[in-house]
Amino acid sequence: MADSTSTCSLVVIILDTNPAWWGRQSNHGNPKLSLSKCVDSLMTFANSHLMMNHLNKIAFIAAHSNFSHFMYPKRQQREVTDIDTNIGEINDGKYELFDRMNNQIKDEIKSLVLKNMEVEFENDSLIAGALSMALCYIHRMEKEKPIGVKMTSRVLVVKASEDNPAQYMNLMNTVFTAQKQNVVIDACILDNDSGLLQQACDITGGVYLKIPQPQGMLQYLLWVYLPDPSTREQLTLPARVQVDYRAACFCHRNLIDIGYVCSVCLSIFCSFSPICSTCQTTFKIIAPPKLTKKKSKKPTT
Amino acid sequence: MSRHSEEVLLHFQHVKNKKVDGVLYMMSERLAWMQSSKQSFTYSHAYSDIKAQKISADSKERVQLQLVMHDGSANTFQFNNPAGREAQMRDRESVKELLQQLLPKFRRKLSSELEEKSRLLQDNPELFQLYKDLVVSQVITAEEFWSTQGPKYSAKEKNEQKQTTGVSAAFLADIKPETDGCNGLKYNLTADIIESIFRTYPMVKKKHAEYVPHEMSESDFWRRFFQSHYFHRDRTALGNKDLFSDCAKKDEEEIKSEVEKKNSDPLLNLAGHKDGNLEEGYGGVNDDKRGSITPANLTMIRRFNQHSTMVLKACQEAGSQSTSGTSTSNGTHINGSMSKTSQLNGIVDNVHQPPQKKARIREKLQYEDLETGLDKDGVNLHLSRMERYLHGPTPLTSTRYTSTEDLISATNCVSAEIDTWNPDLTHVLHGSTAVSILGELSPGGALMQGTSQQLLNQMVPEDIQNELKQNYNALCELLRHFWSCFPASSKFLEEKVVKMKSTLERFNMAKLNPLKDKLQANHYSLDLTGHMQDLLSTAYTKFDTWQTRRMSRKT
Amino acid sequence: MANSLFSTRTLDCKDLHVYLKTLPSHILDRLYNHPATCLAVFRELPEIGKHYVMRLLFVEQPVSQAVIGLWINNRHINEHHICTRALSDLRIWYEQPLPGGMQGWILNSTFKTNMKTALLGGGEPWTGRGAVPLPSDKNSKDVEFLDKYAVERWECVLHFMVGSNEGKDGISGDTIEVLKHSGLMKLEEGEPMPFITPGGFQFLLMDTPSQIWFFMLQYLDMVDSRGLDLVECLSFLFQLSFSTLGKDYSTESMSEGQQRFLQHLREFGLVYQRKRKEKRYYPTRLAINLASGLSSITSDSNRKGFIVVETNYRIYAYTDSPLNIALLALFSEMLYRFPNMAVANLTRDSVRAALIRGITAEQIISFLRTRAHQEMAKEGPALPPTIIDQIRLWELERDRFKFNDGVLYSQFLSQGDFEKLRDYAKDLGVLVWDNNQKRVMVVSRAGHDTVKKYWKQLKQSGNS
Repeated sequence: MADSTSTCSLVVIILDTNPAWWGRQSNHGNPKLSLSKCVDSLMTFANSHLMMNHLNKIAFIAAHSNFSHFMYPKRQQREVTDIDTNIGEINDGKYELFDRMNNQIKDEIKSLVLKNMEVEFENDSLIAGALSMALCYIHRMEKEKPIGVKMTSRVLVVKASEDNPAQYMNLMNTVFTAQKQNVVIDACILDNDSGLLQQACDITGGVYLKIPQPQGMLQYLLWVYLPDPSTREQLTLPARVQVDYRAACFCHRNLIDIGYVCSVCLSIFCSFSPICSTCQTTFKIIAPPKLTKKKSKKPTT
Repeated sequence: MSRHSEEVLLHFQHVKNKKVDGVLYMMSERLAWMQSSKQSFTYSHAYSDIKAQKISADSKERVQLQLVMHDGSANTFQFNNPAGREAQMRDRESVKELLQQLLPKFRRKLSSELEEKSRLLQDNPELFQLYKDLVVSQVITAEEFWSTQGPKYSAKEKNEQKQTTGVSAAFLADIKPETDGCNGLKYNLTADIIESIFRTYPMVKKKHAEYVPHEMSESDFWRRFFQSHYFHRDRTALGNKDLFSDCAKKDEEEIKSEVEKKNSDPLLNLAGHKDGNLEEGYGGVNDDKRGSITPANLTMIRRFNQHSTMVLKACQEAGSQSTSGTSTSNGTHINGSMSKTSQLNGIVDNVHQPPQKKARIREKLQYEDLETGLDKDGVNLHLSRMERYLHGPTPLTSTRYTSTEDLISATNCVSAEIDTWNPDLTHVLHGSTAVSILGELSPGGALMQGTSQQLLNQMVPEDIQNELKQNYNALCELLRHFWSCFPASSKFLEEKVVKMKSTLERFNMAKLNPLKDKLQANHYSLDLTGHMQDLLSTAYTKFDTWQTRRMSRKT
Repeated sequence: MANSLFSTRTLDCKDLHVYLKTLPSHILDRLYNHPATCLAVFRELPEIGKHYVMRLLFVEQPVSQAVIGLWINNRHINEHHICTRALSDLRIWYEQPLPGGMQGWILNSTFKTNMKTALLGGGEPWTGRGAVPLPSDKNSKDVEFLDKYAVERWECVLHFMVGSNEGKDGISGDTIEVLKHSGLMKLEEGEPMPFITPGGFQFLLMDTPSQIWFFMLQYLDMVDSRGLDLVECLSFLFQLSFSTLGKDYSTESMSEGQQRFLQHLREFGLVYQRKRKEKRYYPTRLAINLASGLSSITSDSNRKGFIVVETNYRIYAYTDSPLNIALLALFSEMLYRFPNMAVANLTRDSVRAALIRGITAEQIISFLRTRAHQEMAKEGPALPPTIIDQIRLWELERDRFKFNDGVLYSQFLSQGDFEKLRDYAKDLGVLVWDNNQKRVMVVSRAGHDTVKKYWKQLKQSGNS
């Protein structure tokens, strides 16, 4: 009774639609989960989220191998025409709103996959780009929300392909932005463990889970990702993963516990060299004793 | 305590203690007495334990010396030199004098140390707990404990000790004369006071060195001093044949020279200081209208000033000895020497002020932080290979190689699948899968490892928590000792490592194991002492590797 | 989606949860036959309860109660109990023993099937969404028109209640029946028209969605007497609330009862139908907000706020509606009237007058809050806290008396008798008041019988 504000919750789903991974997955061996099945599960999850509260909102972004695509909601004009074109398809007991959303996502996925056949594909997806799109959308919704409504936003990343180390900077920047905006990033991992997303979830207080049975993806989604962060406190959920925050050395890209940090440019090295290979600084060592020639020894975490 | 190395300062035969004849030894740190027939000391008193000494009056038949200890007990020695009373007196006097010199040194050190320690323990309950855990249970000795803990806590005091204590300006006034019943006055002079007098009045010291003990005895000297015109200078002269008369003359000269030493600090205006009082108008009164400065008052003021100068000088000398005079040398000094050099060069010019003076004025006038900062050209950072920063903490090598054909076939596969796809959500999840995942995600399931229902601090009662905390504290302290020895570069450190290792083992046996048993008896699911055990075993391994390396080096 | 001002408040009408609990279980089971009802019920569950349902939705077998108990943190075990009770009360799940002998919960299969239908599709289409799509409407209506229409219709009802002349024509006998049944209006003998009761005033001060929900509950109470099926009406109502604004629906597949119900809804402005015989209807915002704003959220998205309250107890109402001004005048002192605004003053006397009529402070506050001007709503609490506090204080002023039912014992013959009886009553804790001098005492009604019995025993033993 006391609070005169109502809360709504916005979930932005980012789906990794990298055709290389999904295709290989269904090509070789046992197809545990096909892209279509995965989208089915996500649509059900989106429906469930909308069902929780009539103020809840959903957005859907596809992170493709070379671009990110906003799939739902589309601009207002198109929505109106969508209603008209889709009228004929409503013929079962599904809630209209869900049906409309699901149809739109289906159309978008189809056009996304079928229209982009000729482009070169990479092994990894543009998660960072999709994340920043999500943050922009969340920011806009935050500004447009009606007076008196409290909005909590979170991002769910469904990811299968490998991490792209070149995206590290971009991803980390978006993650810290998310942290500042109080946006929680959740990650649902289908195949390759992602060190970057582990850090992202840990920093923003989200859940990182690699699901053991991809064919039952929906149950994991409903179980772990459907409750919003305030409800999660009350539920018993899988324990937080221990996040590996170690840095990689610049020379061999090995993860190291203790290394050498250049005092000028902060480059990290796993072994000592008298000249920093990044900034060419020479380190003068006065009569280095054999054992203690470490100039700038520092744990780099 | 190695007895061989002790230096024997004095020793006397025929000193009786409790009517037994023996030998009295005075060593650098203690006073000991040995029964003639024995080989070991019957009594041994460290000087720091002795509170005071008392001697029997000269009129008494026996020549005795009593030592009063801090704990209230006393011990009396009788000097029994067969050479007669004279010799007995002499023996006693020399003991007394030596004691007089030694006792103050030890006394100050001891009392301050003890007080300091107990104060530290009272102020720091954690330290006290540690003390109880480690020292009382005899894991380490008190000395070791203080040797490491002491500096940490008394670092402040240490800093202060470096500064030499000055002479109290009131030291002469503090000597309280006592009437001895007759017409005379009795002054009690302690070694402290004598030392102060010497420091302040070097002339007296000189006289003391001249006359004592060749021409007169110690007490005689001081009696004369107090009777002298020098002491009661503002009174009428007592006698001409005063041995301190030339002292006074010398002092006069010194005052003169001091006065002549013009204070040429341009920033000080002593003449502008009026002896006015600030009562009315709060400093607005410029003229001192009292005009009551009688010659008696003047001499008094002069004496006070001189006394203060001497006191300050005494201090300064001590300071400049230790800091080689740099910090205490004042502006007068520099200015004086400067003017001398300028005179030598013959360039005495009033327009050009000495640069030191200028510097001083500039120092007063200019503030560094108000100046416009000079923008220095920084060194540009030239970075090559910027992309190194942009890479994440992922190994570069892990990317899987995929052929183009592979990619194309995969893409085709997906597009074929999506082309024919029509969402059918009704079969999105099978009941059986849902149940198995439910099992996975319910507490106790595969994904729920490590999510304990209860918080640890709810499970473990308060007293156990406290005990654990104490043990942790103690262990960490010991480990700190242990690890601080590395690298063991000196003999002392090596010894300490070995000692600490055995101490750790003792801790393990005496404290940790009983605790472990106790916890086991309570059936805690978690291994609460596991971490401590880990810490210990790490230390043991380190010790073992160190030991083996040392052995191999030796052979 | 609806967007505008929201506020929670105590409704003096039941919320959905309470209402459903009053229904017999066979009706509940029948209600769950429709996906829309399941959705509405689901949304009204406690937060944790929703997650329990979602977690169990795809599980076909009973799940041990102990396991479900572990889903929630130890610290929040209370919420768990509240949820399980709510779910059992609404017959969403029931107990079923597991093979091992332990008790488990299993979801009501009707509920589960229809939830899945709403969520995933399949099953029967909702009424009004026939397999054959409607041909597009020649004179289709946009959202703006529908909003205007709905407000007009609903204000007709309100106008009728306050007896103004504006809305007399459109009110049917059925509506008047409902108003009379609910006690909002009363018919005095010899009067042709009913007049408003104190309850009616309270009703007027509620915000529109609450008014409609209250009104619909009263209507549903009388549904049986009109030969309509409660379940049919309720599920249609819920379905309406889950439909899309600005879209037309067909009346093709509707039953006779539902057709009649539709006509009533048309009268209140919940649906728009151009002509009675027209084969299509448009749900209005009033109907759609019905389910969304059932308990916690009350929205007046279609109407702009018009009231500005200042800390000096002045109210500026930017409205020309006589109804709104009349409502405002219920608890404030009118100062000036202008073509598009009115100024009023909140005074102790005016508020007390309203309180005496049975209007509560909470109702006044929520009236002001829900109709606050947008500029007011922008910053923090829409109303100045001093005003809210003062209105509440004025209400507390009237609560200085506490009323207790009791029985007076008097005319004791002796002090001893009086004291004995008084002490007995005191020991039992039923003594309300006593006066030693006058030998009178008041015993609460609950304790009257025992005290009387004791008194009789005492007299008998005294006589014998």
